[in-house]
Amino acid sequence: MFETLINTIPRGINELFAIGSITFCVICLVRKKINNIRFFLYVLIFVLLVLCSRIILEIISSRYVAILLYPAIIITSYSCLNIKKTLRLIFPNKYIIFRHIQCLLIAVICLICLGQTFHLDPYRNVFFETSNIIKQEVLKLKREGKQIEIWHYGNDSRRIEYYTGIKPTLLNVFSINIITEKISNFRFANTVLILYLTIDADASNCDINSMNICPEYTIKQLYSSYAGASRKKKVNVYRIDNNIYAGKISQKSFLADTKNESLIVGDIEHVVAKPQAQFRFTKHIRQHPMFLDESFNAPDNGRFDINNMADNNDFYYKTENCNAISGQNSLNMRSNKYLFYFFFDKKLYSGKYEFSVWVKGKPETSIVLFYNVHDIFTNKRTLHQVASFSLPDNNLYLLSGSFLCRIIDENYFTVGVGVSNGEAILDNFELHTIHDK
Amino acid sequence: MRSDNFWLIWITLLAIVMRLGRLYFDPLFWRDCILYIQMAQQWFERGSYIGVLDCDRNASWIPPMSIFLIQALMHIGVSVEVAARLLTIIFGCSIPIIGYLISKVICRNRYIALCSALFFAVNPVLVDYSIQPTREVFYLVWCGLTLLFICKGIRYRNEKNWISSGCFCAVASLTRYESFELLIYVILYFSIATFIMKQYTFVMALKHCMLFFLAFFGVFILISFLSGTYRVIYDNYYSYLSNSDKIKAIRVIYR
Repeated sequence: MFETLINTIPRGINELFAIGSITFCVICLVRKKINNIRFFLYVLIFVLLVLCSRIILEIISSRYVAILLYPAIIITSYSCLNIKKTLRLIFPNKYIIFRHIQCLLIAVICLICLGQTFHLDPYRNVFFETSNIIKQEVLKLKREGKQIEIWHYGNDSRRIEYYTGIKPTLLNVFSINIITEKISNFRFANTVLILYLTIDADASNCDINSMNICPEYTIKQLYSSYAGASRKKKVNVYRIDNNIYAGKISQKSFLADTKNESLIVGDIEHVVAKPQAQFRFTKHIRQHPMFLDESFNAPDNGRFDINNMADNNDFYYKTENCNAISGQNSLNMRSNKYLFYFFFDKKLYSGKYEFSVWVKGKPETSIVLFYNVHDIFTNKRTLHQVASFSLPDNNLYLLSGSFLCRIIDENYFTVGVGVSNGEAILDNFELHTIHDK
Repeated sequence: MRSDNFWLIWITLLAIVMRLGRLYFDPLFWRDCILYIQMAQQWFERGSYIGVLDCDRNASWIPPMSIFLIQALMHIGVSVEVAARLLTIIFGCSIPIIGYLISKVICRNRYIALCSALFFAVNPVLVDYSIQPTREVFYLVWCGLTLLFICKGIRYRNEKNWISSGCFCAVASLTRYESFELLIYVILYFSIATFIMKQYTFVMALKHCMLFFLAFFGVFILISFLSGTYRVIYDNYYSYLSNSDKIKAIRVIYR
């Protein structure tokens, strides 16, 4: 309440006019009478009504008291033009000194207002500068065929999206440990992470550069400045490159070198003829023409999923025989708009894993590797991204990502793959446990 | 002493210069402005109010007036940013005149009224509101006009002022929820007016009160229909709800 009365309301009507309103009260007390007293009574009732509602509602922004500008400015004008008479009552012998006080007061108020309006924040261009830096990075990365993702802590996600054209992922909490953990789990192949942090200036001691994250990451500070003249907040922009593997299959696979245990999550050689049961879809998606085809089949060790909003032209699936990457069958998944998933049924438990898949398909098709934690008590599933990759050409690629999964109680997780924005053939799903040295 | 109109023209010019100067030196949009710009863009592109709700997923209804005005101006061929800035500056520059008129009715003194107009032109908070396309400046203009006609209604006790105030109060309510408190104020006034004003009979007060509320509800419903907000919500409410659930589902999956 006091915060609203002392801080928010004066800021909302400008402190100068808050003082003007208080001066009006002083004038009323000194002169003990004002012209049009009844009318000012109505104004007073209105002001009290507005103040009460603002105090009860506990306003958070000074903009909510904008309506008080009307009474505040009118009352201040009244005070300015009646101050001479009031001062004459208080100091009857010094009338000459106050002869031009009305004009002087109005001029001073106008000058202060002018000064306040054109007193520019030295850090006002911070947002434009950071946006330009991010835009330049995007251009550079596009030339290299890489994608960019922005993680933001602060309140500027809409503005970042508007000025850079990239929708940032919002970080709800800022702490070095949480950021470190999130970055460690950030396994988006071919993607560069931009960390846009608007944090308290005191908290800037938390040095992102000194974070204890995996050695395959490189962190570079792109920008650092105070967010405003008050110097309470600081804007820090970092570029984090990960060197996760997403290379052509002709290159030497790093998985071949590992001596870790390989878990079979299932292969896609075995298919069933009536695949409807394999799809966790709504009724209207079950009417997809591909289900009516008698020869249509699907792997027997996994399930498909797509968002209910998808229409029947949006996605398509078949087992690929002719163009199989290896063995008899490969998964051919197509989705134009929504992410179309395939999850293996194999239940997995806590540990550190390396999940990989061989993939080829239309350029710009997005491939995402997931693990899906099942909470058996609440029956809730939580998806976690392991790696994502946008196919640059028609070549065969190995997409791989590692993740650390901690499962409590009887819960378990499954792994899967998602396809969107194109068509891809997938095969050789492999999951390795990683044992720390 | 020159006429008030002469000074008002100069004060309005000063207001325009201050707002343009401020815009030149600090053109960055406030955080909330982006939301309103996106909403206006969505409304313009989709041709209906439902697009506005898609911008703010938590909203089931948003006062549409300011967004409607911005998207309406876009039909002359300007971008959403230009339309938003242009409207806010025009509305912002009209506030000194409204302030002058209110002040003149309350104080009955042209010097105080002109001084008020000058202060309205140079107030830094108002200058900021007048260049940032949020709802504030629209709300201030409509509320200012409502207050002006309420003051005139109280002063001159004639029907046309109460009808006008009811109309503007409806437009203000379609701009910001806070405008509904003006209704409470009017009810409060009518409930005490007959007791404190000798010539103001109960029948007269009742008549003015009814005219005010008739004008308010009439204009509220009329504008809701004209801007398409009422019909769109009525038609799309259920499909909108199911869509928003799906959007939330996608978000959970992505997370």
